Amino acid sequence: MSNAALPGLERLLNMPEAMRPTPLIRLDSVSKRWGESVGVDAVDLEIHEGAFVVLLGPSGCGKSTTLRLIAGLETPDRGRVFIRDADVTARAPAGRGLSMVFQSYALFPHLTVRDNITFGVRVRGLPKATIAERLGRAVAMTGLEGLEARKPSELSGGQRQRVALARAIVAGHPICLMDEPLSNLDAKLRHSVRQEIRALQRNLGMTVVYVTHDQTEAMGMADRIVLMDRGRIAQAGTPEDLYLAPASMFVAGFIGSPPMNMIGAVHVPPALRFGILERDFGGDWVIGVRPENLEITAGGDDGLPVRIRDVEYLGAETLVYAESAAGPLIARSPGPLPPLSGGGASARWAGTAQHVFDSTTGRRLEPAPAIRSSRGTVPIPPADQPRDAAGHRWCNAHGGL
Amino acid sequence: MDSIEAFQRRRMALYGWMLATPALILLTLFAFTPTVTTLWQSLFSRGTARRPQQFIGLDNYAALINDPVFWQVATNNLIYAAATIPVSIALALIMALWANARIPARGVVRAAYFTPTMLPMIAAANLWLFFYTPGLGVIDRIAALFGIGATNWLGQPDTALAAVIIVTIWKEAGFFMIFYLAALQTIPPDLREAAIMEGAGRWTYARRILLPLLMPTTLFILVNALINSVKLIDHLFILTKGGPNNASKLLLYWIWETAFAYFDRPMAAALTVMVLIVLGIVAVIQFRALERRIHYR
Ligand SMILES: Nc1ncnc2c1ncn2[C@@H]1O[C@H](COP(=O)(O)OP(=O)(O)O)[C@@H](O)[C@H]1O
Ligand SMILES: [Mg+2]
Repeated sequence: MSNAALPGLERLLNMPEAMRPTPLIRLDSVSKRWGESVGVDAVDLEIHEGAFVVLLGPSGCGKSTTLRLIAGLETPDRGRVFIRDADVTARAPAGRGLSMVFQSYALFPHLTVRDNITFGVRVRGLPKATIAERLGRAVAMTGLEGLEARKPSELSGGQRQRVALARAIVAGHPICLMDEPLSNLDAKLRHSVRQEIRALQRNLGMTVVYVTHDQTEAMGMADRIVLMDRGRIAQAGTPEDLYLAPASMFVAGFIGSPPMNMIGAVHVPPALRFGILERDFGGDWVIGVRPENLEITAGGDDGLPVRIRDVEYLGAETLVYAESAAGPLIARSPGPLPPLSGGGASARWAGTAQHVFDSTTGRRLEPAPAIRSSRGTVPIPPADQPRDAAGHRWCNAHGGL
Repeated sequence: MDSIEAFQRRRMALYGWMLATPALILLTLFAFTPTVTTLWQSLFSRGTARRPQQFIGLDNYAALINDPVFWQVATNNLIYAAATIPVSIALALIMALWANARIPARGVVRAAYFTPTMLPMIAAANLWLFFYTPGLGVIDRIAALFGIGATNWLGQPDTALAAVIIVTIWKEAGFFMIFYLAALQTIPPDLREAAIMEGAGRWTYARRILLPLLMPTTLFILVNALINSVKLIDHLFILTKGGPNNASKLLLYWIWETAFAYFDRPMAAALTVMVLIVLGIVAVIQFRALERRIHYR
């Protein structure tokens, strides 16, 4: 996405804080629990118009609950939900102007594709001509032409998923909520539908809140990722923010595959203690290094001694699995590697590539270094500073039903 | 090639017949033979000590059609069916929706609704005598509080049939509720949430989503209710014995009376045949007409 295509966006981002539009959806310290089990715990969240926001996290972390609180299918125990500045906490789901795609698709099995898609607009009593026009457009957009008279049981999984999408499109609501919409599709289909959903969202200028537990899906689709852990937000930001400056060991471990290498302080050789001893962090710490920043070389120099266990050549990249005193390590390098002997080798990394965490709290200790990314050197602000507005990528919002 | 195919086909046909044989034998013994015997018997006159049975063709049927009691009993049974079938199905559905909702003491509610079903019909009828007994029954006691005099609910032609109908509904609704409850639990809650998100109210959801999805269950219950409207007569023996003046007499009870109280077996056989024909026609209509409009998952 080049900035030239988004002249309005530049202006928005350069506006003073106070002049920026208020968020489309806002959760204000929302909590929901069922007896002992915590759904979400004091969640604050802002979602801006036209954004593709992904709620990410392991199973049971409260993603669906957050989505259902926005939808109005659950009412919060504490806190308030705002949509366009209106307090909708007590408002019924239908009055909130949003549509939803369920994980199971929730198609009505006795209705045809056509009747499934137009169910809502017919219930709302829209004029026949409008319904027909919207149906035609939604069917064309989702490639369902010719299947209008079929029942859901006569469709493939991918087609059913499209019907669910079409139903959300036809409603014409500015906000669409999706709860793991791709989890019932096979891997190949998932990849293409991912791009289709993204394209639909752009063309319609919809604001999408999308739930998934798959970090590659989140990284690939999101303008903004909200990573959750046990009912709380672990970190919210652009995919780059989360990848390059994870705010905690949890974030560092969840984002990126293979996961970040974690190396306990005692194992780090003096040559690799970049500026750490000079500064006193107080307490124990852990160094995190992404596999692509870990370099394993033969020969015993002043790096971290490792023993190579396995080498996986994957074409575009090679993964090296090694054992060290600090535990197993994984290194990734582009292309094939020169053959490495199974004997003495050592691992090193650049000072700019290290992430330092407090081993007891898991929190990031060091302000993120400038890390060389594919787009050149990107300075990253400290993780514990709120950086919602600046770190937020916008999306063009023209079009719309 | 051809001969192998023919051989395979013959073998499959043989398997088919072998698998169908036990059912065929049982059905022949206990359904087809008695039906044919009954049909045959209905063509004879009633044998007495002095006049032996003789073949009289359709005279028994002619006599029935000219008998005003036949028409009264048939009308009674129609009213009985027309009242018990829709009311017990509607009640069952309402109770099931209620018992399926998130309410406190759901288990108790379900058990309470289901209890009448577990009682034998005779016991249920005895129970209802406590309600209906003139002067002493629960209904009259309550009526007395409002200064209304005693009513002989079972003993007067105006109310006897209605009293019997109420007992049947009370007995059946809980039974049918169980089927609706089971069906409701197979409907994913997502559907309701999707409908709500689309702006459907409770009533729209019930009419456009819930009822169509419950149609297979409704058909099953409808067939059962229809069978019961002919079959369920046990309580007549306790409550009214068909009286007063045939006001609450139903077809099956009358067949029993004709065969075992008046010992007119051929006439009872003729009546049975007529019931069989009517039931057969209704069954065909039901499955033909409804099957096409039902969505089976
Ligand atoms: N209706 C419910 N009753 C009780 N506990 C619930 C309910 N819905 C969710 N929870 C609990 O809340 C937590 C978060 O659930 P959920 O938001 O569905 O997680 P996920 O991130 O996998 O979508 C889980 O621990 C779950 O057990
Ligand atoms: Mg979920």
